[in-house]
Amino acid sequence: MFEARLTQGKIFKQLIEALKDLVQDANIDCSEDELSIQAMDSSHVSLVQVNLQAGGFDHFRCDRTISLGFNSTNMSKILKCAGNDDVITLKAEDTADALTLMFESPGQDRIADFELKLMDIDAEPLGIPDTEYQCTIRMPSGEFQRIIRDLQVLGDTCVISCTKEGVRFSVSGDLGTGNVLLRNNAAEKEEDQVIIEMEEPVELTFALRYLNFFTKATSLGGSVILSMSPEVPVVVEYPIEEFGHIKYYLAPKIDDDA
Amino acid sequence: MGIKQLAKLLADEAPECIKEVPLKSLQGRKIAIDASMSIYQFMIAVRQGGSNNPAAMLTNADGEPTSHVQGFFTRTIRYMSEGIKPVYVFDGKPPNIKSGELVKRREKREKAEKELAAAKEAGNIEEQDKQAKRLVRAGTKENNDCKKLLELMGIPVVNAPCEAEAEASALCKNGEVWAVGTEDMDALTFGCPVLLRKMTFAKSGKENIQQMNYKKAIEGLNLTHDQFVDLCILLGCDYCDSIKGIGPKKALAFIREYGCIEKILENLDRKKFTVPDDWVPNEKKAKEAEEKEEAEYDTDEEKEKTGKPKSDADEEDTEEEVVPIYVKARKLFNEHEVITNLDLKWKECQVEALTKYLVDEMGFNPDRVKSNIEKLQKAQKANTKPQSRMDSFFKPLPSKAGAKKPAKATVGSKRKANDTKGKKGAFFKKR
Repeated sequence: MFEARLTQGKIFKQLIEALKDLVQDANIDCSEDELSIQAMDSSHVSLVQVNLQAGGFDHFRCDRTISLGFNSTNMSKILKCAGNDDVITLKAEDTADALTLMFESPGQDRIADFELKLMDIDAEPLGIPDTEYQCTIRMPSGEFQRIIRDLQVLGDTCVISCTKEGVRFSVSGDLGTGNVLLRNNAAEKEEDQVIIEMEEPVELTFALRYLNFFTKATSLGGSVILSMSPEVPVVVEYPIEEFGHIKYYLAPKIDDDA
Repeated sequence: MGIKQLAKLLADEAPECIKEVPLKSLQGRKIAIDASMSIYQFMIAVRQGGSNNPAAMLTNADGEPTSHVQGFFTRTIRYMSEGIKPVYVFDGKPPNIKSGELVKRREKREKAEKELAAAKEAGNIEEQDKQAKRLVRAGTKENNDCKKLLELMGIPVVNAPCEAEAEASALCKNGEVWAVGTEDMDALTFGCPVLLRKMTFAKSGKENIQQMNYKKAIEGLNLTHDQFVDLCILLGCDYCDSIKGIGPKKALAFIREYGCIEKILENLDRKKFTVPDDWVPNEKKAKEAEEKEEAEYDTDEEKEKTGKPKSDADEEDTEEEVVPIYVKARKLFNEHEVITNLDLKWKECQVEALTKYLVDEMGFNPDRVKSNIEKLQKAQKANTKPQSRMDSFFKPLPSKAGAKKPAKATVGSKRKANDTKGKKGAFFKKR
């Protein structure tokens, strides 16, 4: 038996919105102390990883580990039926072939429940080692979204380079070129700050298409954290306050070794 | 072609080795493609004709067929646009013991020729079509056309010393390419780690690609590599006849029970199953020997001598060897003549030369050639700094050892009751 009740149902809505364009099918993996999702896009270029701690739910019960395979587009359709202020409850029996989603309005005067058919997903979860990154950049999530949107006008590939000077996003295409440089900025409000921590300079190239998919998570939190090391995937993390995170990994474009 | 019924046997006995994947998931992969098979496919499939005329191959002004060039050109661009890096492998000389199979194919051709003539006389267009397709032949000229095209396109070409599937599998085993693209199941017998089928986009790319995994196949069948090769020989390969009366189910059961062909032959009820003479040449020889009072050959001793190069040996009646044919076939599968450690390079295409070749020599429409070349250039530009893949950084977690293996369900289908073997923490270990 799995049951999870979330007063801020909006968070779950936003989470599914944040991954539905990137991945088609995924498993929700529930254990005693957390709910997690790991999935790759169909080209196996990026990976999304969601963690929600049991403590962040109003009520969380999971008797045994269970994987709930869902189609993200269908899940999103059902979640569209939930209001932003609704309380969302997820329920599934251990051997269930459907996930029950219950939406309660804040005044408890409207209760809707939906069932989403589940499926078996042939997923090969990847083991992601905990590593130290050479550069971590914390910035307002809205700023990141804007940079990606702006650069997409000019091209489809973006170079992110982190140096002493700051972090630079560059693009070049048929129209011309573009650069956005962000410097350390100790603004008063924590959310407006840009904080760059760097051991060694790093420069990596990425497909903007995927970075753009990642910014669908912007509404989940005020800040985003980029972590980079040479020749490994970048991590784009949106922390969800006192609850967990959604992390995106994107494999870089690498000079042809062949 | 290939191994009879192997695909079906695998689907029944080791379903986990077959996966349907979208074309997109092959992004960034190097794939060795069996060129000879592709040429045949194109010459048969790329045709034009009305309902009243038998469909004809595309030809240039001189009446030479160009279907294969058209097919190679567009399909290769399609691969490149998906970020796939193709390598084409062409057949070399056929192995000697394939001659039996080749004779059979020739007979089929002759039969088709006769039937075509008959159909023409009778005015049966459908039949004409069918027989004309059977008559298609990819000769040296067609091979060279394609090689020239690929060279101008900047795509690497490998000339296999012998069979193309063997060469492609060797490249794959050596890690030079990620997979082999062919319809021929032989590739698995050659030990190719990943085999891709249905890479034809016949249905405008909606069809998924079938991906077969060698390791999972032999694990699923619960056989060793040697046993798997013997199984393929029993099923029926290009190199020798198989035992009559042994179908896929029996072949697998025999291999599981006895482990190898030698043991099977020892235990086989010869009255029920007819073993081809060349499988047991020693018995025949022994009979003759009795008459001729020649020295007897000992099977085992003879087998040890298989180390000597006998592919050169004459296959005709004068043969002195008494190596059973299945041993030769086995040797072909395991020690095929291949070349590896090649320097595979994807270069830029030579626009002018390519246009000239396609428009002037092949008689293609200049506008279409131009737009296709543009597509190719775009794909090549995108590949100069190729997108890497997630699995080159993070490795899959050890799977749950088949704890949960319900039949694969498709999107929207009902979830199968999950058996309760999934112990706590068995799924998706957290790091």
